Amino acid sequence: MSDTRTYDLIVIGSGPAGQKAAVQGAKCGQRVAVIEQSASVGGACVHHGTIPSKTLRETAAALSSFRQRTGNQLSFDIPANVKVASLMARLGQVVQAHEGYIGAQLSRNGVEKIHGRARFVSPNEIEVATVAGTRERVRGTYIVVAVGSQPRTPPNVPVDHENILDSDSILSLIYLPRSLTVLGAGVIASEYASVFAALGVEVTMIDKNPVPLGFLDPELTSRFQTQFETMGGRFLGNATVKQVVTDGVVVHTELEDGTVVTSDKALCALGRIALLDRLNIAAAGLAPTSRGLLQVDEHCRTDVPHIYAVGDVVGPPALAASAMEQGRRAACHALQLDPGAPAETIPMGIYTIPEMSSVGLSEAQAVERHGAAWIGRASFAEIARGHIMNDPHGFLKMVAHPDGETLLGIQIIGEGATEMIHLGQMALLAGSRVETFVENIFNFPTLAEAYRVAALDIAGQVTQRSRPVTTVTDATPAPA
Amino acid sequence: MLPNVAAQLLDGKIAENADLAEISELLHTDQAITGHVLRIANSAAYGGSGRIQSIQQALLRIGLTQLREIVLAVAVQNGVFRVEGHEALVSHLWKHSAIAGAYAREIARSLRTNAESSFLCGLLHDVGKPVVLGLALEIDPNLSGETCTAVLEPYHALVGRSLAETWSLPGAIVESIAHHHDPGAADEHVPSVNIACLANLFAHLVLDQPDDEKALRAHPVCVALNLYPEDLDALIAKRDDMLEVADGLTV
Repeated sequence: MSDTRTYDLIVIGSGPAGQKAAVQGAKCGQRVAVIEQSASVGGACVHHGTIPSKTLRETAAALSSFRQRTGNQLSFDIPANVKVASLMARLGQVVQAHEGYIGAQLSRNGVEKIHGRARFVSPNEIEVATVAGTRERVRGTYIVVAVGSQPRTPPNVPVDHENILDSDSILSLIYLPRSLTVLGAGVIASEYASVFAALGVEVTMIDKNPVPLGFLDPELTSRFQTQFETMGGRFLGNATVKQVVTDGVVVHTELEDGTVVTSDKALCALGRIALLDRLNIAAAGLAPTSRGLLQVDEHCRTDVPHIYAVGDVVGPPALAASAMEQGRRAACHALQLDPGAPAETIPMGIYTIPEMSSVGLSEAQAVERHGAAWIGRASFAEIARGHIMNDPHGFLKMVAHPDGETLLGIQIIGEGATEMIHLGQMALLAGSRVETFVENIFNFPTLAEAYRVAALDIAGQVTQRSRPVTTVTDATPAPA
Repeated sequence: MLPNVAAQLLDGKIAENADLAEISELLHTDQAITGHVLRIANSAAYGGSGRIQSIQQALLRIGLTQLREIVLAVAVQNGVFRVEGHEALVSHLWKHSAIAGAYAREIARSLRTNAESSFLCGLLHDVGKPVVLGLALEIDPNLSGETCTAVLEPYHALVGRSLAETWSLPGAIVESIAHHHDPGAADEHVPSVNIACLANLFAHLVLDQPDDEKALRAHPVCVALNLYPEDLDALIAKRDDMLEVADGLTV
C-alpha cells in the first residue's frame, strides 16, 4: 500500500456529471482527481449510451428523412442481413474524438486521472483497486459521486447478450434482426424502438404504462406513437411481462394476459440501476434510497455534507445535459462559489424518430402552477419549411401564462426538435414575451417560423377569448 | 478442407433470418455433419433432452447461432483437426480450441458486449496448428512429438490466418487467429483479438497449467480488456461449465 494522496476534490466517475464537476473544481485552482474504472474517460454516455446510440440513429434518421423528402418515390430498403456495424461505420471515430476531447480537457485543467475501482473506507478516504490488482488510498476534502448507472435486468428477463440484449450490448449486434421486442417505453426504449423501426425492423414495444414516454406532453407522445406505428412499429401498453425465454432461434415474450410476442431478438430497456454496489457507501456514512439511489438536496449534497452525488446516481431526469449542470453546481457549492440561480430551463431532448424536445413548463404543469394557461400550436403542415421537408406531422406547442404575455414553456416533435428547442430556451431565459415571436422575423423558410405561428395562435386566442385553458388538453391523434 | 455446408453457413449468405427449411436442406447434403449435429444438439451441454430427431427440430431447439457453432466445430474437426498417427496431440489441440471458444463467449458476456461472434474467434484461434502439423509430417513423417510441438508455435498464426482468409471468414476471426499471441499488433477488431487472446490463456489454464493462474492474471491483455481481479475470479469459477461445453463439442 502506497502513501495516501490527498486532494481538495475527488470525483468518482468521468461521465458528463463527473467531468464537469472535476473541471469546475480545477478551474478554481483546486487539486482535483477523477477516479474512473474504465480504461478511458467519458462513462456510459460515450461508450455505451448517448454517443454510440446517436451515431446509429443518425443513419436511421437520414434514411427516414430520405424516404420522407422523396415522398417514398425512391425506394431505399436496407438489404437483408446487413451488419449493424456497417450502419454506424464512423462509430469508432466518433467515440474516439469525444473521448479524446474529454481526456484533453481534464488534462488541460490539471485534473489527475486515476484508473481503478473506488471504494469508500471512511467518509473522506477512498481505496482505489487497479485493474492490475494493486491498491492505494486517496483522501479528499470534498467528494463527488458520479458513478453512473447500468441497465436493470429483472429476474424474468434472462439477458444473455446474444438473443436478449440490453442497452449496453444492443449496439454490438452483428446483423440487423428481422424483428425486435423492446421491453419498456421510457427514453432508451423509445429511442431504440423508433431507430430500429426506421431501419425496417419489425418492432414491438411492450410496457405496463398506457403510452410511451408518459412523462411528456400527451400531444407529443400521441404523435410519436402514431408515427412509430406508421413506420411499422407496434405498441402494447398496459401490458405486464410474465417471462421472456429464448430457444436460440427466436425470443418469446409472454405477457400476463397470455399474449406471446415472438421476435428474432429482444431488448430489455426497463430502467437503469445506480452503480453503487462496489462503492461501500456505508463506510462513508451513506445509505441508498429504496430505489437504490443517493438522496441529495438542491445543491446535490448528500446527508454527509462534504459528499455530493450527481448524474444517474441521483435518479431522474438522468439526462447528460442535466448531469453536467449537476456536476458543475456540486463543485461550485463545495468550493463556496455562487453557481447562479438553479436552471429551470434545462431542455429535455429525446432522440426518437421523430425527435422530441421540451423546455420550461408543459401545459399540465402550467395549469397546475398558475391555474390556467394559454396554449399556442403550430403544425409543421402550416410551415413552408415543413412542406419542403415533407414533415407535416411535426408540431410545436407554446405554453404561456394566463396573462397572455409571459412565455412558460415549449414542446416540439419533429425533425430538428432538439436543436429548435434552444430558441425557446433562450426566450425563456431572457424573459421574452409571447409577442416577441410575433414582432420579429426569422429566416424564411425555416422551421423557426413555427414559433411565430404558435405565438400568433396565442395572440389570437387572447384577443378573441376571455379565458385561457384551465384543464389539460386531451391528446389528439396526429393526422394520418 | 472446410466442407461446403460449413462454408455456406459461415460466409454470411445464410444468416439469422434464413428460412429454416433452406438450412435444413443444406445440412442434409452432408450426412456426416447431420449425424454429429443431432448428437451434439442432444447433449447436456446444449440442454438437449435426447429427443431431437431432425435438423429442423434441432434448429428450432438450439437456434441458428448455436447450430452454426456446432457445424463449424464438426467441420473443422473432420476437415482440419485430423492428422493420422498423432490423434492424441490433435485431440488435445481440439479440446484447447473448444474451451477457448466457450471462454471467449463468457468473457464477452462479462464485458457486457454482444457474445455472438466471440465464440468462433476463440474456437478458431489455433486452427493453423493442425495444418502446420500435417505439413511438417508430410516433410518428415518421423518427427518426434516434441519436435511436432516445437514447429507449431512459430507458424500456426500465420498459416491459420491464411486458411481463414481462404475460407473468407469474418475479419474479427481472421484477426483473432493472426494476433491472439500479440494482440497489440492488431489494427482492427482489437476487442475480439483481446478476447481471443485471453480465451487462449484460459484454455491453457484449464487444460495444461492448472496452477498457473498467476501468469494469466499478470498478462497485459487483462488490463487491455479492463478486467479487474474480481472479474477474473468470476471467469475462473466457470471452468467446469466451460469444460462441459467443450466436451459437448467434441466429435
